[in-house]
Amino acid sequence: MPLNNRLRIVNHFSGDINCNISELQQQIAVFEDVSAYRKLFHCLFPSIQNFAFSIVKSRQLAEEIASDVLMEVWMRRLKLMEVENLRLYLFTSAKNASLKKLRQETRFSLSTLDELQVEFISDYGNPEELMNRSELEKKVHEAINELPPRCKVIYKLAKEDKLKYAEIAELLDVSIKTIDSQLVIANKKIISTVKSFVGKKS
Amino acid sequence: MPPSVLLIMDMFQSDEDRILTLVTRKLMGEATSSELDELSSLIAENPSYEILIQSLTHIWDSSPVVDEEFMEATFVAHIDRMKSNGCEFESYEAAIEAKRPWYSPKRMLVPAFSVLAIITAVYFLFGGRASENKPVMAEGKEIKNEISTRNGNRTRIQLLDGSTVWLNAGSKLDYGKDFGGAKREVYLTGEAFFDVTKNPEKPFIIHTNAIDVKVIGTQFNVRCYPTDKMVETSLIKGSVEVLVKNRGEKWVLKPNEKLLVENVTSLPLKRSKDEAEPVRARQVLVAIKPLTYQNNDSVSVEAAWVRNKLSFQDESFAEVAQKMERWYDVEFEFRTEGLKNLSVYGSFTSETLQQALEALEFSFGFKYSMQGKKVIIY
Repeated sequence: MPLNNRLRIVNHFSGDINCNISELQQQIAVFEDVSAYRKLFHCLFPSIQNFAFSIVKSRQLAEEIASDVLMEVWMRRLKLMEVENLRLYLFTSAKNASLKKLRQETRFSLSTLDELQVEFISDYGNPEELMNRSELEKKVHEAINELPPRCKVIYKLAKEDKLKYAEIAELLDVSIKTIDSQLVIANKKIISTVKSFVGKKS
Repeated sequence: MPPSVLLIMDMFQSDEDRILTLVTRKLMGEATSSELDELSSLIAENPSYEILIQSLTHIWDSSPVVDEEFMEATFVAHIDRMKSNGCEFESYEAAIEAKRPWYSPKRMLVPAFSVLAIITAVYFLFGGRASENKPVMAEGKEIKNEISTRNGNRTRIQLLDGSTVWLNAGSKLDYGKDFGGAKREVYLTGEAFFDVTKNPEKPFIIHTNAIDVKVIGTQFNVRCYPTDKMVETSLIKGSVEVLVKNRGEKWVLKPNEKLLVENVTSLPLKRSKDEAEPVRARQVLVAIKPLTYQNNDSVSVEAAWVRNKLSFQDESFAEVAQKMERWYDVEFEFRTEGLKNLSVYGSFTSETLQQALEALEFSFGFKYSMQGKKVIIY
């Protein structure tokens, strides 16, 4: 059953600077704090859902996986302080659950990262919001969308999900060097988009 | 990131590529200080890149707008899904709303009457109206500024300004000789329930080790036993402002909420005699939770002791033992460590220690024995 009937994927977002995951983690573990859990959900659900989606390619499955992963947080709240890096732990749980689902549902087993197709969100909330985006922002957005899948996954995890080099390396089982170079490729593409846009204008 | 890992790929890069590499690491917060220095000097040599780097940073820092309403709907659906999976989760607002007896007209009379009854009892204790305007007198004319209770004892005090304080077992209230004059300030160790007389011009302040509670006129409970893990302020009526000293933050409570603050003094570090060891530098944890009520009882678990009722709601046996130690003036010793984590619900009113222990023994299947004032659980 889909979590939410509205046919729209949640904006890919975890960039709220106030998302202090380790503080929320402590609040949940020590006080069983319901409002901290709600904040944690707001901070991490979209990211985890979108990451799961990049593997299972089904919105409904991705929603279920993200919901399951966050449900574990509440069910094991009293042992939550045993987890050293909660954000990475939840992404890893989502990865494992997604790969398992994928094997069950499609008998397709994922072998390389290049098979990950990340759906980059083109939906910026409401139409007015989209209208307010500048031409340049739209162009940049297109450029990010055109990045090779692997590059896009890494860019997304780094920029939007705020994972560090070492965390992405562990999650995707790639080297730190790969992450560094993929991010440079992404930024190079963005820079050249900006350059040509500015060039045309002047 | 270890610099050596990236050294090889760093070689033979054009200025533009090098700048991009360094900017990327800077944005990721992974750049070393020498890389940051290198970046600044490269930009100084190639000022034309400055604007491009600015727009790159701007793009990196921008985040899509969140649809709060949609996220909240998703969260509610997630909670429903959790509940259908048998996971208990009570939303904070629901807990507050469902258990707000003070606003229900049917229950309104109960606390109103009981407060009256308690005030009458105070008159009896201190000899009626005559002593109402004087501080509690000890022998002779000397004014006693401090009231304390031993384990097993509870008492109630009426202060000069008409406020009433119930002092739980093993607690101390110091109200200073100036009380009621220029200011209304008291110092508390242990647990007390306050029914404060309203006076907006002179706020009533309770100082404890970890927090200061400032009130205008209200009913609330403060629990700050040095050995407890948490300092707890529970608000029944009105509004209080709690200053969490360690964080320098003020928290305002609404009725039927309690504020839990981690008790720094209970942390072992402070107890060690090593003077060089600083008191824990980190911020203490703070949370607001709803008060708990048992079986439609109009008095919350937090304030039940005022009615001579020892009440537990999903507390560990270790915590319950600590409360019983103060209540019955005994000491608990656990010979079986696992028993400490048992979850206890229930309450004792007129039960003797033996009856209480028998009830617990019956529910949990442990054994106990008494050695003087010591209760051994095994």
